[in-house]
Amino acid sequence: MRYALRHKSLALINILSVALGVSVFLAVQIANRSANAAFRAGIDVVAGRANIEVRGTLDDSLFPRLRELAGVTAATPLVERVVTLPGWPGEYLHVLGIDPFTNSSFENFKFSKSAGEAFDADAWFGDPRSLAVSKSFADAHHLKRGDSIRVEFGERQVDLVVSSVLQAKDGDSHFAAMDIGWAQELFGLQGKLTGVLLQISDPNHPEPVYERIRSLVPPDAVVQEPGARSGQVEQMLSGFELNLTALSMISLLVGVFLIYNTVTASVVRRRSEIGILRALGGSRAKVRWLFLGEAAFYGMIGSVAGCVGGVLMANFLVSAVSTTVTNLYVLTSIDHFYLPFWQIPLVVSAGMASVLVGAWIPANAAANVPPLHALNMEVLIERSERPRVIWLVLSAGCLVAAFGASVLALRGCPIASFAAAFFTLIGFCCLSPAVTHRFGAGAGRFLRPLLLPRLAARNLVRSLYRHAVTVAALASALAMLVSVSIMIYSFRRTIDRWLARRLVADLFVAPAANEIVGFENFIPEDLMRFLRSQPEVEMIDTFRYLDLRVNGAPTFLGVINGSGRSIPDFLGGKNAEKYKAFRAPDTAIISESLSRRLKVNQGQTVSIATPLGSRRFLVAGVFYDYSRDSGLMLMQEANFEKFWHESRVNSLALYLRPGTDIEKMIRRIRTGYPNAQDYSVYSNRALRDAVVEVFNQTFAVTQVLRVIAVLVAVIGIALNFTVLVKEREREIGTLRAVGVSRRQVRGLIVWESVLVGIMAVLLGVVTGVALSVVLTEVINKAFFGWTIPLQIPWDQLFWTPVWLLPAAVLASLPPANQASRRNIIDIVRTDA
Amino acid sequence: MRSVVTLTIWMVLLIAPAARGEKMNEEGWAVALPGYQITLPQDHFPHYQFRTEWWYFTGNVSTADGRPFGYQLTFFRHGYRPPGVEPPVTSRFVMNEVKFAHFAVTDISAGKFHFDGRVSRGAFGEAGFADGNRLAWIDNWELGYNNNNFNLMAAAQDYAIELELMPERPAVRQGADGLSQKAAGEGHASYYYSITRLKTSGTIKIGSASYKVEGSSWFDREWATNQLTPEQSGWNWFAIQLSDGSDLMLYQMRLKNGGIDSHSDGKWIAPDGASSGLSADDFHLVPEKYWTSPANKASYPVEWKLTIPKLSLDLQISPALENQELNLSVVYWEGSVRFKGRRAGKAVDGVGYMELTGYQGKAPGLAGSTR
Repeated sequence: MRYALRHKSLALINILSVALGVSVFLAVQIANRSANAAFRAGIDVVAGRANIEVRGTLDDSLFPRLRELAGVTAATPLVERVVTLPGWPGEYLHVLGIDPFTNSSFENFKFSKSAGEAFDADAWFGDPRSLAVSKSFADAHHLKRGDSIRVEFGERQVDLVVSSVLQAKDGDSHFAAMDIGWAQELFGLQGKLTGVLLQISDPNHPEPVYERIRSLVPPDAVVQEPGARSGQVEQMLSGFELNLTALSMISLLVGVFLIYNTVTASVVRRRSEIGILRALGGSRAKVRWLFLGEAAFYGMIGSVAGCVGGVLMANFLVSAVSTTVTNLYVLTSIDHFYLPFWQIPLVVSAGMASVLVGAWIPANAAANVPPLHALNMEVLIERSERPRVIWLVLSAGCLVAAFGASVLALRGCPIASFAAAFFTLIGFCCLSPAVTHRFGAGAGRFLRPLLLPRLAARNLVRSLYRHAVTVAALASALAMLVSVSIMIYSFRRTIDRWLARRLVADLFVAPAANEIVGFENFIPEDLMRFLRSQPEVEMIDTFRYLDLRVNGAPTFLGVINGSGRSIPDFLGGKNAEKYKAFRAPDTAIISESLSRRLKVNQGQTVSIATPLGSRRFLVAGVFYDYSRDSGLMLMQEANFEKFWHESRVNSLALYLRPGTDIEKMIRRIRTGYPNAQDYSVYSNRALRDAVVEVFNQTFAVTQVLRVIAVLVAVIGIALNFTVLVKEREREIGTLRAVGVSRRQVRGLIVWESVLVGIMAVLLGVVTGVALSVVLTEVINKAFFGWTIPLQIPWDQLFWTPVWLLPAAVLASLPPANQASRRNIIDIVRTDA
Repeated sequence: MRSVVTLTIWMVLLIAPAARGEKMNEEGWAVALPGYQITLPQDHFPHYQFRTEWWYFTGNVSTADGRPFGYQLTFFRHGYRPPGVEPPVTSRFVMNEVKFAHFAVTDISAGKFHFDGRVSRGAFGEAGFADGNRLAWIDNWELGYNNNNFNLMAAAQDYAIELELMPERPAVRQGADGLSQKAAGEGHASYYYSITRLKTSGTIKIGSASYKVEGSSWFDREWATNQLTPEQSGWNWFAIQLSDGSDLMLYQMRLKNGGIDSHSDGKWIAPDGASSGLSADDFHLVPEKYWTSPANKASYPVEWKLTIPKLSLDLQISPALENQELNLSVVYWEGSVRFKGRRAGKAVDGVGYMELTGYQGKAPGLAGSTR
């Protein structure tokens, strides 16, 4: 403890390295849990205490029949629609039409009791525009009773009036409520419901009630426990979240290396103290616990600081995670941080564990030093100049384990893929002593004519393990950076190729609001007529998207009709042949990820819930698709209409006659069609850009983590050289005493940091490439099922040393300056 | 041709209230003004152009061996959209008026008071007004009207009634020829008539036991738009059937400042059916005992001393059971009471009902929910 107070910088380094690892880990945990909690709260807002929910387009005359079913104790109808808010671009409201008479036992909505916000029955039932918004939404948008709020859906804009406020709960603030009757009128859903919630008398044995319900509702209606929906979404999200967690754990691993360095430094500096302690009869265990206790002390402070830092960092991560989840999975907004109480002890334990693991080896070494050696000034703790073979054996062992884990992961145990990544990283880190030794020796020979570089290279070999650990720490931070860069780059190139193949039309038209709320809005007939009447339009492909159950699992169906110019790439090739087969009756094609999820391949049949009941479709092919992780099924419109009897479409792809000026055509649509402002019209180029933008947003979280990796790397260099300089004060003093100038001392340390930097880059890049193989071929395959051919971004890799080496030099300057300024007599006389 | 007929019918319906001397408030509801002639049976049926109305039945019955019961069954209509309001709608859930009902039975000898309430949108016809032989209904609670007789049917969790009511007297118009002024100012009034004695017979079920009962009921019928003012806090109302064949209705409008509004009113119906009005100055009501609700600590004056010098009437009013509080979305005391005293020097007694509102929460009438 006294030592810690005297050596503030070392203490600070220890604390910082723990804090950094803990912060990143905690921030990712908060982001993940908040995303799950936000979605679950959303379901709670809608479903409340329902045991069963029926979803789909239901005739409202079904409601009394459902309510009177045997075993049903309460029922309430719902009409839902997501609307956008032109007054706040990008904002939306999930409007729920509810029946206050029947929904009270579901406890999903509670009205504020305070004056000016409470439920106003006269307005609620009497005023068609009356809307209740959540407290947090009202506060965020400065709304009070009587204020009007413009909402948009389809081609309509309507001014609603805030008549009451929903009690603040942890739910999504984007939920708003109005009377079910007025919701039917507003959305043109007279006679229809989008859902019915039910409570049953025996929730433990719901099967007979399920059967009775299913016999009443249309076959494509979903009848399930409301929690099932959040379960499905959480399952979808789990892979994504696990990946984030794994990435965040790398920061803890880097912390282990940093702690190893600082504790080693402390052991080196205090060897005489250890000697005296041992000579006075102090046991080995006492010495060991002295150092472990000290590390634990830092670890505790660092973990607590890390918890604070993690909460701050979560601010940035949460919005990035929210964007990704919305892009890839479901419309979600994370309004609240969610951190279960047990996470704090978990995170602190993880921080403490990393400290103890990092401190164990040096503490053990200190305990095993014979007292005489410790007291002898000439004997350094670091004596080995040759790397021990054990590290190479360990490395080989880890790499074999990594391979084994990869095989396991691809054979149906996805979680093993993280073991594969871990062993790969450790396996390469174990090579660090050998690399440092070879590189130091080689550089020594190569730089022989130059005094300082030669000395610096010699130092690498002399304190081999100290440097090897520094190199390993930097290399693992770099490896994380490199591997994630390679994965994103490969993914991006794959998307580019996929877009080039799939986006072949000249113009794309869709309701603008769908970009915010999903496929809620449709292309009206008159817009279709207008576009068909344009002489430049050669052909129009139409698309319809809807949620659907295939083999009982929720998935996404795309219904296409048109030219067939945009043919997907199929697994196993023969694109034209498979696409032709796809046009046959009762046939569909599925994406690679859906094929993996359902374990269904080409030539097999799947059962699809249609309004006419469950029907079997033949899978004519499995195609590459990167649009959504949960999977996509495509169906020809003729096949769809046969069962669904409807022909509404969500978006259009227009093929123009050769030579048409595309910009002019867009202007014509903008000026010629009366409600054109409600539609997005993209040129091919613009849509590709938009998709790439979504791609970038999707990887926003990973970008944030990349930035953190860079920070860890740079801070790591600074920390390590501060330690190195402290550790070698006597040596530096001796050098100064024999006539080496301050400048030369500084130069020596800078050269050493350059050499360490170069080694870290070499090892880091190689490790990163190996990790990226694990990321794309193992983790991605095991969790997402996307085919991503590995592509190396050579330019990015080339630039890594270009920024890292100057960063290394910069980071080493303060400790180098400090070392050069020390008083020679002071440091040579005795160890401080 | 058909559309012309439809149009004419609509015109008549829309103009009808105005043609009958009614005035609309700014929201489009008719208000109760002097000059309206109550006619039966038409006015038994709903008045959609008014915001609020109710059909209020109370009564005291007993089994052949003398086991006494009190009952109350009330159907309410509260409008949200006056007839003809824009926009016209097709959604069955859009609710022009809410339907609700209160149902209570006092099992006097068992010392038990049962009460329940129902409220409904009526989107699927499960609640409504004026359909075939029914004047009002919510699910299986029904007010039937057939050959000038009323049929009451209601079943709650563990009690039920099925009663037939035959008027023994013609309806009497309350207030000034049916216009009951509830506060100062035009329109602060309701249209109000009562049938003060209906011969009643049928069954009451408590739990699994079923009782054949006979007795006498009281029917109050009232409709209005905004009869109360913000200064009023509630009222005390009495329906009194005396053993000498006379009936008496009294109400006191209480003010928030603790006073009694001068628009309190009463009606005396002599055994021969002749009726005469009583003004606030004509009767004195002095509370003699309070009962405190264990549920909400509201304190109700459940025993009274009534003196009406003009009629040489002195009556002691006491509850058949102290706890007859209906703890529903609106909280009030409504229950069977007993009378004992002297009229013109002769001893009389009687049975009836008492209603005490505004002692807990806000006065229900201001929201237009109960009487």
